[in-house]
Amino acid sequence: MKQSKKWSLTILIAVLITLLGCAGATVIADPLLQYHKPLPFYTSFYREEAYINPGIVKTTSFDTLLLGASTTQNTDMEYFRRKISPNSIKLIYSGPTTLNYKTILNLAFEKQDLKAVYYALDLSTLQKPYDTTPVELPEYLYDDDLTNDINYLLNKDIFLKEVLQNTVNSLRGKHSDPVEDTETWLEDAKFGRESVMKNLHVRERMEQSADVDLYLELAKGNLTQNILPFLEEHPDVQFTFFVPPNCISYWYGRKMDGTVDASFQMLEYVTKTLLEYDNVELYYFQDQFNWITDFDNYIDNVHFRPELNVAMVDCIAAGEHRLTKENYRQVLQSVKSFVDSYDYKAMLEGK
Amino acid sequence: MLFNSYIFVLLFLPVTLIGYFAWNHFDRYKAAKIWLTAASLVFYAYFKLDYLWIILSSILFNFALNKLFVRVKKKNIRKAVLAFGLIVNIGILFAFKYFDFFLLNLNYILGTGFSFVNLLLPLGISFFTFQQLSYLVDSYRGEVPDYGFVDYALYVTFFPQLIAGPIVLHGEIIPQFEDLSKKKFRFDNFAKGLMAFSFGMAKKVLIADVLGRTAAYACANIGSLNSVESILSILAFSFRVYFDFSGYSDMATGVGLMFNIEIPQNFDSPYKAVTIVEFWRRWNMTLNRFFLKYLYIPLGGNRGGVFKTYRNIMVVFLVSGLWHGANYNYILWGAIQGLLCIVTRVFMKQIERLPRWLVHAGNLFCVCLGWTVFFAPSIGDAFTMIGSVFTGGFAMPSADFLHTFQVTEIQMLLHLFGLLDYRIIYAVCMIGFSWFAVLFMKNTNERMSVFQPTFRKGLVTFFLLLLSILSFSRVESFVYFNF
Repeated sequence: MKQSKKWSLTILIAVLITLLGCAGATVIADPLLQYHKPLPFYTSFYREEAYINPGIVKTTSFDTLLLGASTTQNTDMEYFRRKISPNSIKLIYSGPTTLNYKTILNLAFEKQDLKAVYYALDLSTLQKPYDTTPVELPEYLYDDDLTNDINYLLNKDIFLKEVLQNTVNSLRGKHSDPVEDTETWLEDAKFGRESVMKNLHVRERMEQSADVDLYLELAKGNLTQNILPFLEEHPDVQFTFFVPPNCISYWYGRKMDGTVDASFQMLEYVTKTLLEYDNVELYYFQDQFNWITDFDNYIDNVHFRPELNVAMVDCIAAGEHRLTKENYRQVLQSVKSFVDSYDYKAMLEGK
Repeated sequence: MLFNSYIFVLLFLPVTLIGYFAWNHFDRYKAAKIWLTAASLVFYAYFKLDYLWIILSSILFNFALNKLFVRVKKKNIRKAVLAFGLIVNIGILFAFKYFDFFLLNLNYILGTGFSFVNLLLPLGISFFTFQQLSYLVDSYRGEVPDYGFVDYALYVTFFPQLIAGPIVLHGEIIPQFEDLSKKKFRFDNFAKGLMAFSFGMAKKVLIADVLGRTAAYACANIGSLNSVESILSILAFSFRVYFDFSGYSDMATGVGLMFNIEIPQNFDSPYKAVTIVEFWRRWNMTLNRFFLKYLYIPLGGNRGGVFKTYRNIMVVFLVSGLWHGANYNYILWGAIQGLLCIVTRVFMKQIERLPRWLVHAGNLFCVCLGWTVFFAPSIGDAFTMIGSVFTGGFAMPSADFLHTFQVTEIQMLLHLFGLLDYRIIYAVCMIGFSWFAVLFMKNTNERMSVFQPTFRKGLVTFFLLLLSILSFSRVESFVYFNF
């Protein structure tokens, strides 16, 4: 019995001490920036945006937010700050839904005195249900409830990969800024026709009657649940939406699955709705035909060179490619005509 | 509440243990039982407060019927009370679990358009209903002493076995709570229970939950799996169900032992079984015991000739299939198991002449295919997946598929050796270890029977407990790079 007592108590105490140690180390290192800014001597390079973004919002001071998906990831923030706003940060979500954006915007409005939001409107984001996210959001990081922080403090993935690994990196003299040095897909990117053609995925053709209604339903849900409330609750905040330029190969896919009409009807609906608000500007870059038809600008249907991100920043700063109540129908129609009549056969043959 | 949660391990269990033995220490035995019953109800209601009225009503109803059986001696009235009790208990189970399935079939057969009721299934209702059915039948047979309400309530609600079994019989549990020698906290039982709990939690959290991701991916992508992915998915189904269910049973056993209560064994290394008949003596043993005592034997067992024996076997497995869920997959799975048992019995002499390893391999093959039917979203999907094994094409599994096997500890080792690009290693490790564990390692009950509090066992228990607790919360990676 005495041996069992010693055995049991030793294990329980050892486990407890180790858990407290893990928790303490995580609080000090705080790789997800929940409690404090990055320590000067500690390097933190975090890859999961859904996990690091709330910490950035909690511990960084900014008045302008650039919100987007992987297509916006390569926006040069030094350039953005020079051209648009000096006090701005970029928050990216991979494969996001508008619920991702809503969640982080709620936190940003709570923690910061926001003056402007630059919001990427990728078409795929609008086509996803408003009440889902690609991965389950770690809600314990998005609130101020300390009791659920145990999910952060006693988390094997965070402790082993971030706290321990970053400690080793720090001792080796490596340094990175978790706010500025986000992961980018540029590292292994191959631009050009071969890459675009290899990543050309064509979905099954949708039922003609269903697709328009479905897309409008999805867009309506995303707008009413996750976007418009911010416009209404913050009339003094400038919301600048922008639609990144998808490669012409993307529109080949839409021709094949029969959703060109639905895509443009959805976008027209979204544009019309957003432009009703005085605090909204909307920029559209799909009409940059020289961009979208040059495969050297792309690695696949949607991901483009950082130079195009720079060009978009220039356009937004200069007010170019802006959709207004007067011109949006004509602009969208011209792009639709272009993608409808484009010579996809020649595109596939490489002519 | 789940066993594998911070609140259970760090708060609920220590507080409940301390409270229970504190009351017993001061000879307040009834208070100790009330404390444990109340704690068990808190454990149950933590999922959803609404569940509480269901289990409390069930307890009150069945206890009242038992009191009737004690007082009423006339056979006709006792039969009527039994019938009433069975109808109400099974009726409630039917209403929550099977009513929409019944409507689905009614609409299909009769062309009606009844709307589904969509009642939320109370957690563990199958388990505590069956437990009380056994109590009801034994009461009718006069095999139940006149228990007090607290004893009965504790028997039904005792939290280690409340939501996922094992299905314990009243005669196994209630006398233990009466036993004075079990009122005092015992470190030898606690140590053994801690080891069992750690092993069980590791099986669930470190293995079953990982394979669960593979299973979910497979179910969402059945049409596009290649042969290798299909095989790995079928194995993931098969190992996941074992490690999940047996892990939970181990945790239940371990926690029970911390309270000095011995909970019956539920799994006895079922994948070591050579034949399907032996498999079913080792898998979910308490459920099979229930069916044997309350269904197979009342139907006549093996006493009515060969045909009736096989009929009774098939009935048991069909009911067992249906018990698992309201779905034709489960019914088909049950039918397949029944058929395999019958065929094995018919050809037992021939089977015994075959090499043992061949029979064992054949049995594992059949069991794994059975799990595919059990877990696939539909029967059609099950056959698609099985078909893909032969027609899907042998190729390296996709990165997205292999990502489901990814475990942080293995990832760090691969990073250390510069092998991060070889993602297949994750699958090899998880499936390879699973095979080794089910075929060659001792099960938890075997470990408990020879348990000594050694340094080596302590180290293993420490690491399993630590890694499991740190795995309650994980980082969900965005895998798909699709637009």
